[in-house]
Amino acid sequence: MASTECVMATPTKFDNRVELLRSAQPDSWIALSDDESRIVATGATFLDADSSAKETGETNYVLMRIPDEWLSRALLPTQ
Amino acid sequence: MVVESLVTHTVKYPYKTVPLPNGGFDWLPILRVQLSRGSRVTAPFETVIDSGSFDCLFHADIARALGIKDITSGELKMSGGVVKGVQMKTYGHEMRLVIGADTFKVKAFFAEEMPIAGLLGRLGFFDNFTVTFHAGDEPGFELTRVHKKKQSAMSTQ
Repeated sequence: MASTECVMATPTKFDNRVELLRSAQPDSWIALSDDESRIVATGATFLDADSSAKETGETNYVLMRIPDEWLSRALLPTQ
Repeated sequence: MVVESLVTHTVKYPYKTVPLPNGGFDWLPILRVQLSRGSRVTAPFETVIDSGSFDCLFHADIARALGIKDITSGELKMSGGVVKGVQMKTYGHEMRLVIGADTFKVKAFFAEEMPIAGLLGRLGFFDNFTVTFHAGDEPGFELTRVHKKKQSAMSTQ
């Protein structure tokens, strides 16, 4: 018999995520703090942003790529 | 014969916001994941769940973070979008996708032109999770990990 365990993941605690993302340099990488309240570090590459984040002493962060332009995108099916 | 395991786990996630032009914003099913290859594992990064994508696609920078100096050493696959005539070269490499406490083998495809860090597609993601999307005032999605195992020949006798 199957059992199901439900866990609620931590929701976004701050509603300024959109403004943070909008303020980031296009076509770059950022490291967001775990609670998404601030940009911990930035970089031209994934490794640059990751290294810069580590140098700040931050241990919980998430990397994100900032696109060249914020658009409503039809994402990319593959064949 | 394939049988489902006895235990499944469901995790609920809220959608996350991303900017749009003219001050607007959109909600997207965004999931934090990691990739690992050998002893290397990336920092967590944000990906978009995209059932329209055949494979799991990632920006080439992430391959380099895992020690793949030349992404073109992988399997070439041409990817097309909704724009006629536009194609993108993607290169597949074997590695592991890490989602929370779960990890499983995937052939991850990489491209320099990816505008975002990654897309979680049908092969490698949707074949490991049942995904339920919820619209409404509190948009979000649920992931249910479906563990499958092949029944041994002995057990069928």
